[in-house]
Amino acid sequence: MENISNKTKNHYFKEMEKMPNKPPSDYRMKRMARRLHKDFDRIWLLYEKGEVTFVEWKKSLHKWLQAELI
Amino acid sequence: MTFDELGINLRHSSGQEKTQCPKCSNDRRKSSDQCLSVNIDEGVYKCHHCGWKGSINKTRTPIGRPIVKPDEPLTDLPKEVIKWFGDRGISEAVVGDAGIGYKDRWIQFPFYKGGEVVNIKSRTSDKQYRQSKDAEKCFYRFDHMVGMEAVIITEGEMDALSMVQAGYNNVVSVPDGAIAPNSNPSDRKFSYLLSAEEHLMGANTVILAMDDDPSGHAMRDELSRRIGREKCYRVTYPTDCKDMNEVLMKYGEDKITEIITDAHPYPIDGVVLVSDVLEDAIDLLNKPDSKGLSTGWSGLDEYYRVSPSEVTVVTGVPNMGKSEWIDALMVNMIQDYGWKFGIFSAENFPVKHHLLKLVGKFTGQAFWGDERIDEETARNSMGLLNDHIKFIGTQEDSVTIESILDQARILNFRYGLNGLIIDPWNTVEHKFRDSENETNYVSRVLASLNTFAKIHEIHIWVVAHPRKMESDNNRKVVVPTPYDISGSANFYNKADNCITVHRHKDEDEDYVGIHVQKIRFQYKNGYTGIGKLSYNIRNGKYGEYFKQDEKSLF
Repeated sequence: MENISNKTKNHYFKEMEKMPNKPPSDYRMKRMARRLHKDFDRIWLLYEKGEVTFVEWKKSLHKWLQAELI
Repeated sequence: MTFDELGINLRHSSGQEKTQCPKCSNDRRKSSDQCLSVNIDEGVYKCHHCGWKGSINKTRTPIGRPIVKPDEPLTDLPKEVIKWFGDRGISEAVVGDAGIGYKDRWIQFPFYKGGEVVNIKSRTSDKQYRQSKDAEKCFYRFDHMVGMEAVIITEGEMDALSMVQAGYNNVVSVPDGAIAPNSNPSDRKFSYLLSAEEHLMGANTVILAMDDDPSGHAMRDELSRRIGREKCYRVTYPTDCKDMNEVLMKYGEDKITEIITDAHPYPIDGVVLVSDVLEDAIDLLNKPDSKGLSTGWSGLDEYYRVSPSEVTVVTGVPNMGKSEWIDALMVNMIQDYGWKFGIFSAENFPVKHHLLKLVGKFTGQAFWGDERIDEETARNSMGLLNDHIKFIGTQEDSVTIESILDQARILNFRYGLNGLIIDPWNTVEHKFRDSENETNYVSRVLASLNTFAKIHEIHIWVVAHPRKMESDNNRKVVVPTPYDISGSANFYNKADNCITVHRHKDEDEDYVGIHVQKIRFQYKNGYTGIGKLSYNIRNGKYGEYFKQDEKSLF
């Protein structure tokens, strides 16, 4: 974890705190959320390498969390 | 002032949402009621209970930052930098014309657009890169593609300058390099295409001179898919070179001219050389188990899988669920693979009704009745669907196949479509040519759909009604075949796959039969037969079908 910048880390934990404890409603949505989660992990690694912007990182996080809320 | 400082708790960073009001919720008996509507993008809020409202316009965090134009770089280059370029075959004159700058060991490549510097990409000699913060993304040497009939696209600035050195002026470079192979790059990665849309669409020839490595090939394939393969050409490098700069350094300017002259088109003109498909065929040989994508229903995997570059014709008796099944399939492809769709669905206009039906399928929750989906879930679903579905042909009085394909071509350029749905065929205005009968017309249009699917690697689904319903001796409606489709037997002959959606209901069984009547590439997409699904009218979803006595096992 030492390479993860404070900017992304703080934003990530802030967004996580806002998430309600809601079970997934549908197994296909659960699968989609899992796929978007993996995608977000990949984007985060790319962000750490400087290959994507913070806006892109944030959009990917938002997309994943949006799927988790359904 | 921010939403946090006002005590407004939000779960998202954009869009609209409902939450509790910091002014009145604590004093209310229904304290959990989400009475405060917040538009995060606009920075406004209003409580529907106490009327508290306001704006945080001036201090909200914008989603898209304003674009910043960098200053022109200092072009007073030290001798070492000139020598560095010289060692790579690029003369001082070319460097000077390109306005190359230098600052604190960073070589600066200015991106000109309309004669102004809109971005600067900097690199060090040991290949560290950076770009101006919040600057506009556009092609490097953008101005040199304006109005050109032929445009050459390279993967980096040094490759572009190498081609300028060889005498080519109509050369541009992508700003962010290549993409990882087998990745699913976001549209933001290709945002620079938007400002170049007019020029790339207007060009007759686009030569893609990406690096000869997996990332370069992935970039070349994605760009050609978006621009349209009918006008894209590929280059072949000598075996010991992977990009234009290496060619310039090892073989000189004449070799670059030779490579560009020998650029060959993508295999779309009906003539395919073995060399054109050799690598693809070897890939297939090495991955014999590579199959089409599952539809998301395991009971259907044996009969029908989805592959790019194909056309599937779907038919069925009215009210048996053709459109519903196509919508459900689309939602499955979005959820499982992140596919993007263009959809012309005339029978589902206005779009708001269609969107709500899709949300039901997407969430697996009812979208009508007392137990219907809550607003927040619906908004989240629509937010996600917005990235994956674009509705086509909603404005025109008369929609033709040509106009649908034109819109799909633009959508594909901007967003990278994977699927296109035309539902149904009979609502499209069919314009016959002089002395063309319906059979010839259907043949010609299906051929154009096939070509479009293959050029852009898009799967196209066409929903078509049968001529008339026929009944058997027991007065039961007979399952129609694609030969029964109104118009022509070409629906069967020209399509890659043919499916009939038919509901079977009797005392013992009640299921939706997916009758797969034709599969062109059976080794990867399945065999003809009947897949069985169940239908949930509450949310519009299709699920795996189990007979009543099988259900009791679980």
